[in-house]
Amino acid sequence: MKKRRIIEILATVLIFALLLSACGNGSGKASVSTQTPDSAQSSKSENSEITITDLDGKTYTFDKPLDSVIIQWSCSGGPFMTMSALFGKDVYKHIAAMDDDIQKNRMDMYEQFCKNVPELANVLVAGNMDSDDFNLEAAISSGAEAAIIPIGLKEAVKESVQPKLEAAGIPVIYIDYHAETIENHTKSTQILGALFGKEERAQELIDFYTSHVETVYNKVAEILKTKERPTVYIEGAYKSPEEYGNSYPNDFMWGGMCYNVGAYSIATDVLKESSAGALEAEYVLSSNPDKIIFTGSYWPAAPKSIRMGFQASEEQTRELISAYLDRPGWRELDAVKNGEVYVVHHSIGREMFDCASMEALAKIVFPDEFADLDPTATLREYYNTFLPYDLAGLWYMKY
Amino acid sequence: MSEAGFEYRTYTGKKIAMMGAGIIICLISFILDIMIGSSNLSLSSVFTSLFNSSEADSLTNVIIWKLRLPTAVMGILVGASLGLSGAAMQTILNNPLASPYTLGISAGAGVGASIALLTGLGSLAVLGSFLIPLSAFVFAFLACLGIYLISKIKRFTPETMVLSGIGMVFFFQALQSFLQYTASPEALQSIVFWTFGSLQKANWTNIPIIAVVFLIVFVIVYTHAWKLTAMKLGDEKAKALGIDVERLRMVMFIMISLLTATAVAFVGSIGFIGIVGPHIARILLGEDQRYYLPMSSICGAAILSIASVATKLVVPGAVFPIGILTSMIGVPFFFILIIKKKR
Repeated sequence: MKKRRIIEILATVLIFALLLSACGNGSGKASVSTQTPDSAQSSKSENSEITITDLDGKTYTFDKPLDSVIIQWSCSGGPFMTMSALFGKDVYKHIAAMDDDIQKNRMDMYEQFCKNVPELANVLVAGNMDSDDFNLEAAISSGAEAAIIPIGLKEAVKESVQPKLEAAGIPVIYIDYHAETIENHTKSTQILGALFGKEERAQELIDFYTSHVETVYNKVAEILKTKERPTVYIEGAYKSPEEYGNSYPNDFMWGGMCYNVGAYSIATDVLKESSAGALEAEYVLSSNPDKIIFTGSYWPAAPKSIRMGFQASEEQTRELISAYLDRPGWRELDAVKNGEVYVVHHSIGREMFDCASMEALAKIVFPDEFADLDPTATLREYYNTFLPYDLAGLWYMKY
Repeated sequence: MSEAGFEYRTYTGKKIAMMGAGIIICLISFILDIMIGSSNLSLSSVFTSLFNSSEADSLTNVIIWKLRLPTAVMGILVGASLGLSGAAMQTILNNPLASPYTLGISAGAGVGASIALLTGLGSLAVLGSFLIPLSAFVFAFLACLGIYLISKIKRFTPETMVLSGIGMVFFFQALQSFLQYTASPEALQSIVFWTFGSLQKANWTNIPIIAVVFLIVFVIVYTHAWKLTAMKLGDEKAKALGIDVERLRMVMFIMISLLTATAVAFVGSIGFIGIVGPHIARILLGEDQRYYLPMSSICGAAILSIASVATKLVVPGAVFPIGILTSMIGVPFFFILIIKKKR
């Protein structure tokens, strides 16, 4: 009797599973091929089919532009900001489910964005794919046609979330703003433009970005022919003056961005490749870097961290930096004596508008050569031209 | 002089010589700790700064007096504190597996620090750099209080204390996991780093606090050395000798809690020393508490100080969590001692 019941239940489950997977495959929303076409990144055939190749080298074809997608890493290199630029105030309509990165980690940004686009607050939050709290059920039933996520998530999702999403007929498309290369920035934006049928707008973003970045890179290449790379100490000022925060070597995040504009990060000599880590106070003092660059943001739990962003004021930030400069021995450093202390916003890389950050860093590294640049103005121009949000507050500052 | 008296004297003489050797090892390691650092200061400039600081250049003085010395002193102090509290804990619980860590004291401290790192504790922010240590201390003491209250009902039997301690560990670890789960990446990084343990936060404000607590606790514990030795014979025998076992256990537990909570609050979780320091002391000197207690302190201090030197050699320039290294270098040494142990 009992055995029979168990068999019945198992059979029902099996049938359900089969039905579900059949639905997934049969929906015909996307077809995948792993061949990489050697021509363009995206193309439209006559019957308005959309074909893109993502940053993982996979090619996807859709029969019409996507309406809504699952996104991740919304304030750290995910598609959110570019989508905001493509769709303007309608951006919320095209997000089926997102992470809670912005709410949790960039509160000031989130508050400002919700002020301009109140509907953002109602977008389904399905959690983060890399911290195991991603709500697959909610995401799958959200009506998303694809998931667009940064390539940095691939390791975390390729064997867990990805197969399940794909089984539900939701392809996982990778983009990449983390590498901070013109190539990947351009490709990622082209992919988003093609997927949403907004190629022209995407091209405008790319033009804005490349024109600013290329000008900086060309000039830096010119300067480096005659000048040495100045040394910089970069610190994520999210802790307090008592405890050193992470620093970044030449090939990683802020260190990479600084290297691209002609600086040399002192963390390079002591940290592993492509990793962040705190430096010893003694090492920083004895290295005596030419410049000190802090990254600031709004970290409410750490009241002595350096504050930047929408609600930051110059006066308060100056005070917070001053406490950092009172660390043992710091007043003796050349950078402090010469007034070569700067702060930039912690999360202003990994986006199309980070061309403004590249300008800011270039101006920090070579102040005379780039005296004519106004990075905040570039950032404001990007916001005014493309984004539905109003820019305010503090993003780049010299102490 | 009788034969027995002579033997007793060589017996104590040997033990005192052993302790002397331990202290010398601590001293050598302490000196190395001050000599070595990523800025490659020359020996002479280190000495000038140490003994004639007005002659040395100001950057060297900062490096020696504000960075290297506090870390080196903190290493010795915290190592000695953890060694002592581990030894006393193993004795009163009559259990060689006990340590401040097995009883959840450091897990409690971790939760306290995490709460401070995660929330900033709002209005308490006026405490400045004492906020995190204080919060860690309070929660470490809460863990102790829990064990104390449960044990009190059961008249401080070792079994109840160990069991309630293990309960505390799991309870606070669950809390810790929950806090980490809700943390932002930056806060998470700070929490994880705190739980690794680090001597970098040492300065001339927190060192005297630990030093004073250590001295007070050491004197109190040491004056009970005879009673503790008697207790090792078993509760019944100790009672027959007129010792109030329950009370002794309670007083010792309060002292150990105070010392551990203070040490852990400032440097984070540096595990392992509390359990291995006493074991090394026991293997070398046996369990006569008059020697066992100070020797455990010396062993603890030596391990942590050597680990501090080693972190500087392993990754010069970058901050490497010392808690990881203490176990990595201490465990093989510990195994060798176990294998070589005669009995």
